[in-house]
Amino acid sequence: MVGIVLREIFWELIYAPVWWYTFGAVGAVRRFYERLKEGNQYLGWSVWLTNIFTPMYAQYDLTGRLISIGVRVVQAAVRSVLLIVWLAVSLGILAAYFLVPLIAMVEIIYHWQLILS
Amino acid sequence: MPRLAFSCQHCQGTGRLPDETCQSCFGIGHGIILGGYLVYWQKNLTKEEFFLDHFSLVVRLTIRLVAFLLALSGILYAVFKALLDISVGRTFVFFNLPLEDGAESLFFWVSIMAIFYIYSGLERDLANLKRIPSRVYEDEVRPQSEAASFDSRHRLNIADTLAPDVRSVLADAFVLAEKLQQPLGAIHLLFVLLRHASVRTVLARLGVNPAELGGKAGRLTALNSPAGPNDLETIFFQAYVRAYGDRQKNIDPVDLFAAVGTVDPRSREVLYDAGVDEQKIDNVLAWHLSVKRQYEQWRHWRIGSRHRPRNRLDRAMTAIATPTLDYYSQDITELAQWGMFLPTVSRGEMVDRVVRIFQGGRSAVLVGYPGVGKRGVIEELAERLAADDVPAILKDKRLVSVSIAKIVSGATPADAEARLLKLLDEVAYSGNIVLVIEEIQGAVGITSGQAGSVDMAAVLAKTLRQRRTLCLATTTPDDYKRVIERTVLSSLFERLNLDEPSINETIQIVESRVGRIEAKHRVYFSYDAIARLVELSAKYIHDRFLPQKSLSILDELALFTKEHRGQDIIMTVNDVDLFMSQKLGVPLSRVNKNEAELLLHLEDRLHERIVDQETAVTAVAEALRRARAEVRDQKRPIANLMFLGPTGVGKTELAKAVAAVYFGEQNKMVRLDMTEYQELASLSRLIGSAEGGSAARGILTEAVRSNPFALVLLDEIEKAHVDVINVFLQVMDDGRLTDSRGQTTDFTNVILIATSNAGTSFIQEAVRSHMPMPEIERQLMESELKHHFQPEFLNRFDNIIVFRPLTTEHVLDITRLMLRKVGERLAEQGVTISVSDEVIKELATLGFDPLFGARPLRRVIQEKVDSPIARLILEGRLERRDQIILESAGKLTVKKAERL
Repeated sequence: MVGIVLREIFWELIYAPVWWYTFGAVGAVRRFYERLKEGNQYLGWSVWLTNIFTPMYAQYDLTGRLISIGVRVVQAAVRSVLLIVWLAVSLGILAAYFLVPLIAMVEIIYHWQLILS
Repeated sequence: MPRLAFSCQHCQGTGRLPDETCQSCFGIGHGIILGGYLVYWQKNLTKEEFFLDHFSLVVRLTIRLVAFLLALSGILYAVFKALLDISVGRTFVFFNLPLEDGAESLFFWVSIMAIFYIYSGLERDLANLKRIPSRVYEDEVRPQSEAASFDSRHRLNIADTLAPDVRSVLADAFVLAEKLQQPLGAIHLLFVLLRHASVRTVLARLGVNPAELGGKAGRLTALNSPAGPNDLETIFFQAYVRAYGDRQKNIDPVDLFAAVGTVDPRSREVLYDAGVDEQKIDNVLAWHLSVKRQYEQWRHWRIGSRHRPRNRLDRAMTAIATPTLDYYSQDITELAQWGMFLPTVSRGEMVDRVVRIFQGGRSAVLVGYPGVGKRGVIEELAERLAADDVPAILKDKRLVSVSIAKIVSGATPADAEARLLKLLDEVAYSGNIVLVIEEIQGAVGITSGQAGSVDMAAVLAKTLRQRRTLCLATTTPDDYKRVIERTVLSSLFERLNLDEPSINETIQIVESRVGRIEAKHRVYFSYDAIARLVELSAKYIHDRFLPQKSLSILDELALFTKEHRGQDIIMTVNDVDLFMSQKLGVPLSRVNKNEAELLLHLEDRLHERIVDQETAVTAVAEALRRARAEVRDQKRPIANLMFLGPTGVGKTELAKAVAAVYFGEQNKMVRLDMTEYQELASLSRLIGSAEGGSAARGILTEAVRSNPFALVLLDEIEKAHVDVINVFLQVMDDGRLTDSRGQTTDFTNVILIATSNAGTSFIQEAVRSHMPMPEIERQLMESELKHHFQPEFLNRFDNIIVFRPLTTEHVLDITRLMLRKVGERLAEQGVTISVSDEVIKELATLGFDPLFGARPLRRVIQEKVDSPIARLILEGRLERRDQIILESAGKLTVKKAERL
């Protein structure tokens, strides 16, 4: 009986952090990647980039092409900035996954020592 | 599904050696090898094990509860402190909470840790639940038979793949078995499963009452002969194999239910008792799975289409605005994006083929009859386009359906052509459009009419080819042959034949569509009802095609059932039979007791109209009984009968009686006088001619097509031209007839009766010389009939029935029969008639002619009985309750009734 309680406590409290930085971390990185893909899909960033020399609105004349490239470069730039912001947010979430438990642990130890002293 | 049994040689499949766990099989002992995995069942189904499991769970949940309370109080405390701070006028800074170093901050950080711990616990629970590996093709798997050759990732304990629901079912079943003081067995599992919601849904689809089934299972548990753990192991193996085959992620309660029902003999007995067999369970599970998968696919497309621009441009903005096109067309991708289409079934492969043709830079034409699902292909393609679930060449394209009718309406041919050109120009410049032209045959034959003008189809073909525009067209096989084959259009399109789906596919299609109708009418379809509906519509509705002909009556059927039995009920086969028999006017429902009685005494019913002719009446009655009990050959007419005999002996009368008894009314009869078909040229009247419009349709084929449940009476068949007779060979053998337009008419629900006077003089002669009937029949077949008919024609009749010439006795009986009818007609007016035997004899003598049989009798009765009565009525000399006494032919007296 006591064995079971100890086993469960061990499994829940000791194994949890191990899992967090191993199997759990793999999941977190995968979710980060999915989030980036979603951002690209939403902003159409790669679509704009691959079509940078394709004239917009089927204007195949020279003026059309020139205007089109101008607009597309601006568009691609704006979208790139937005994507970078999105990347930063995603990275923030990923960093939080890895760092917050560590910070919490450090804080706990720090305050624990404060109490002891 | 090929699977190998595995049993460890070292430990004889037990997993244990005398002192230790068997190392060569890692303690597995035995299992199966499936899809490259060694699958085994390892779970101690003992009281201790269940207790330990339960206790572990309680401990785990307690720890998590404590963590949750800790997290909640820590956060609340921080919030409380922050609010307190704000209330005294300090500014709140998020990263600098007003917590004092030491205990307060420690408490806060521990609560943050607790939040992470709870989250990780939930994630770990999900990760612990092992998934059943995806199904692979067996030839991709290396054959292995040693446990050592499976690494730890390829060894799978079935107990780890149980969905949480199944774990609790197992625990509940164990508690039940404990209560009954029995070892855990399959029947306990069944009993617990019957209470589970998803299993109850399956049972509802099977048309079974779970309470009733639970009662049976309950009684069986009381019998106290439960199965041992080994049976349970087999059940879980079976459930795993089933879930693996169905590409499920875990074993869910329904898989377990199916396994219990197929593996355990006593549970199977309980289910059989309720009319559920393995096949039905399989079908219903397939239904659930397919609906679930369709929904997932549909959701995947919905999510995928969220990124699509809502305007008409592509994402790269290379397209142009297309006002002309927009006016004459409908953007199907947009409809898909708005979720306007229902999920499609079994159209995926055809869409793949269309996509492949597009990848090759060509256009495709779907050739299929109306209602076979051409639109379904277009809708599924649109769904894929909307979700960008297509190869690069189709990415970011829109599917636009152009209406030929709209282009040509209200315009001169020249205008229409101009519109088409402008529209095609826009399509070409825009570059992100795949054209859909439904019923493309509409474009053929439209020209501006002036000399040198071209056909609209030619304009279309030329522009599509020059501009390399992709196009998906549809047409019917007839129109393809008529207007597209060997024309300029055919070189442009790759032909894809869309056949009518099979019965099974149609069942799946109907299953995917019933949800909406169920919600609308609150009547729920059982699997059997759907299967029966599809079977009947395939069999009896011939002017339309599957699946449309089944789908189109779903709504009506649900409404009909609601009106008859009310809401919130489960539709059964009987409801479908009742509806279809009313709709089609044929007896479809199972033979009930009254009808069985009637069928068994069919001879008596027929004798109410026919005197004597025992052989004929018996032969006909036998044929009808065979048909109604459904033991006949379903691919031929219900019966092919030939009535031989002199005129006026009751041949046509018997045919009428058959129509009245079997089809409900005597005018359910297609009667053809074959004397009209003595010339070969008359054949076109019978089965239509290839040229001309609907006027040229065949009399016989059209009559049977519009009324497939009828008696076809071919009067005086011997008079018909031999080639006309040959047409009936196909009808009698295959139960179908192809008319000159290539359309097939179904004859499997007709009773075909041919009458003939051939050999009459021989029959009369033979009867006069007291030749026995079997001998007359033999001689007729061997010599007389051969002068008139070919042997292959005669051989196709189920029965050739010789009607005997009438004797005086028979004529007397017929006279009585006819007078009884007169009596019945008078009874409606409250008047009775009495006729003495002498009068009957007198009438019979007058009405009988050795040459014409009893035919003149009807005229005699009209003249001598009906007409004088009519005069009495008109003169007002007959009142209710009066009695007419027929004294001698033509002489009537009226016995007045007493006045009330």
